[in-house]
Amino acid sequence: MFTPIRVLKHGNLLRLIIVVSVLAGLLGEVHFNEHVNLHVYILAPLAVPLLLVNSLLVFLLSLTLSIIMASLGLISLLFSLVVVVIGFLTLYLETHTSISSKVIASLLAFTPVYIVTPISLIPVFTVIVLVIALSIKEYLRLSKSNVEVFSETRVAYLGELVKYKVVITCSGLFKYSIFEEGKSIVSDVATGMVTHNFSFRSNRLGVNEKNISVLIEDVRGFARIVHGPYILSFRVVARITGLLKKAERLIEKYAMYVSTPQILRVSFEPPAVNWTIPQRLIREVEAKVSHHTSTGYFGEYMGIREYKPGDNPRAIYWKKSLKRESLEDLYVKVYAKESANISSGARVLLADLTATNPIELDVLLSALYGELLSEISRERPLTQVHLFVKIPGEEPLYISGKVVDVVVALNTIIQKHNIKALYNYETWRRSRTIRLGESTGFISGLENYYRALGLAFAEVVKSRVGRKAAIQLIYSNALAYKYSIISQVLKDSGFMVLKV
Amino acid sequence: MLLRKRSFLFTVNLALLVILLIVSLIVVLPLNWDYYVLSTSEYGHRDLYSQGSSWITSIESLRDLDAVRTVLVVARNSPLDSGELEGIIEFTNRGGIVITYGSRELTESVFRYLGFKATYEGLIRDPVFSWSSSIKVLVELPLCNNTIVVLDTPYLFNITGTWIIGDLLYTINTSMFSFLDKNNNKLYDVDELLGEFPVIYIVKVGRGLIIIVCAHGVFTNSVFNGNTPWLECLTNRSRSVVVDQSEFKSDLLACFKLLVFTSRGVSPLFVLVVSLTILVILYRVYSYKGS
Repeated sequence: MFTPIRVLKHGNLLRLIIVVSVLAGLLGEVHFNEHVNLHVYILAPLAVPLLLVNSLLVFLLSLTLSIIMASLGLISLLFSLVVVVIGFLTLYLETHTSISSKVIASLLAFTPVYIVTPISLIPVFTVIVLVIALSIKEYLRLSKSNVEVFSETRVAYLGELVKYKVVITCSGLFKYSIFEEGKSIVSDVATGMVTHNFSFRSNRLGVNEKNISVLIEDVRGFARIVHGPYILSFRVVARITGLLKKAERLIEKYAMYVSTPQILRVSFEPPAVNWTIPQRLIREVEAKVSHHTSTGYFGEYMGIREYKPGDNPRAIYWKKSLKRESLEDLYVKVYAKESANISSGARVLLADLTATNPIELDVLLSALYGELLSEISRERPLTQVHLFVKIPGEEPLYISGKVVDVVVALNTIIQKHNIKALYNYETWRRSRTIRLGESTGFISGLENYYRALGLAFAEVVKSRVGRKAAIQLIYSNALAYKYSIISQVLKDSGFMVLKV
Repeated sequence: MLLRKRSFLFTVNLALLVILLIVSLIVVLPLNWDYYVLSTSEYGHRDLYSQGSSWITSIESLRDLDAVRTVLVVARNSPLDSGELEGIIEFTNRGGIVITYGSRELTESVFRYLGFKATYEGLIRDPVFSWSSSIKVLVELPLCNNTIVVLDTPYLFNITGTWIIGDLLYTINTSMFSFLDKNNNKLYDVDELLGEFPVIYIVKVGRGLIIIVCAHGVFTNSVFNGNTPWLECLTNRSRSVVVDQSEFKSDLLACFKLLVFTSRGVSPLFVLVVSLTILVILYRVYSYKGS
């Protein structure tokens, strides 16, 4: 910090004036004051380093010398004022970092000297007057500064980034800090004008407000001014809101196809003693499962395959089947869409609405509605859908029927059940990597439990939908481990598994 | 670790500053000891010291002084021992002037050394020829153009014997209105002696003088302003005043303050040392933070 500087560098004139003032003060005091003897020349060598050191040490040395000189007599007191003023100006002109606290601390540190020689307070008061004058000057400069906060987002989806811009204008060099709700988010030094773009994640539904304040300081710390708080107002809506409206419109459009939705309560109950043995228990609570068959086929033609029990007879490829020697061998046409719903052209969805925060819940519901509404949007309102919905704290619900019926049923479920996120964590990340099948202890037990759940679910799908159905899973990141196991089990059971 | 190191450095430097602050406070806080040159009390010698006097903490150091150009003020509560009195006599033999005043034990020890038996009689008061109070008695010196001297709490010694050392030049008496306040009730009683009493004895010893003043204060703060003409007469612009402080040589605090203070205030050397120490502290703190 105190690296020597070149003698001929800019600002050495001030240093030279200080040295000359010190020597002149000492000479004058010795010459005119009979009480002062030649011993005061001991101070003269102290002035020499002034030419070699940086501005902070110049100030400290000049302050020390001026305090000592003030105690000698009137003549050296007058010169001490010159010394301390120029020492302070050297520091002020050559420094572009905060010095106000150092100046004040240095002045306070010499208190023991002020106690024994109160006259040494005169150069100190001179510095204080200078500090006050410069503070006023800097305050007047900063008071002309201007801050503008622009909101770039008026309405945002839950979890989406809300953007805003802060423009600070101030003449000369200045230091600034931008505070969001009292917390500093950026702090830097700039000249003239500076622009910052910020964004934050919206995680609360409804009208939100953010307080933005800007602190502008003189780089040397002599003055500061606070702009704001500016209130940033924006509205946060859930994605599902838009989808629900869309669902309403589409159901209205296809109202003629809508029949009474069938909602079943399903229970997958793994064995209590040994989770490795799967069991299935389906308890029909509200109504019997009514089989609805899809009325048409959609998508690209993919080829043929052998007929399986449960296939729609209308899909039988009679021409091909009749060419075979045995009539027992029937073939059905396979379409692109069906390749995802191999068994019967129906779609199977398993949606676990267990979410760690409202944003995740919104995303889960949006994904679920998105999947369902995409079918209706493609003019396929009668696609057969088997939806298993897991609502936190409740047993899974099973809805089967035309996609419009399922949407209506889902609307009913959402209205009836107060679905909430379990927690309000911002993030939920698994920090441990677990390889399936290699875990031991509690994790191993948990894995077995999930595997049993998967097997139970597979049994349910086999009985209700058919074998080799394509199952789409919708779940939150927090349940990734659970559903990776279930997914594996489903694949092992011959199902195609897709994650939405 | 860095934080610990920095906080340790800060603590050490702060402790140093606090120590300096305490030392400075000790230096400036007054001591009200009688006859101490930095004492601002009634019997202190601060006013005398401020006039440019110097001090000695041992009578032996009188040998280093130029006696012809020195007036020694010996004012104390304790008596002088024979060694000290020897030194004083040697000083006067060389041409020095010594003024003694203070407690009656001190005066008695001087009289005894000079060959007299001194018996204490009591305090002298003068309701007429006095300064603000009857206990501050005025006496007129035939020397120094009849200068008036103020004596704070003068007392009377009945001395008997002959001068072994030196010759008595003058005896200065109080006014005819003074009385010996034997019962110390501040009032004249019928049975108390009234009249002139000897309070100053000027004895020529060698080439110098011993002035024995039977009073508690002469150049003390209480009556210093009244006695500056006499002091000027004694110094005659050629002698400097030296105050004996040997009574305090065993007191560290008193000695420290004597070292730090000059007649014009705190020693510039002390200011220099303290200031440079603070400069070093600030340099260390700022350079550490900067690095």
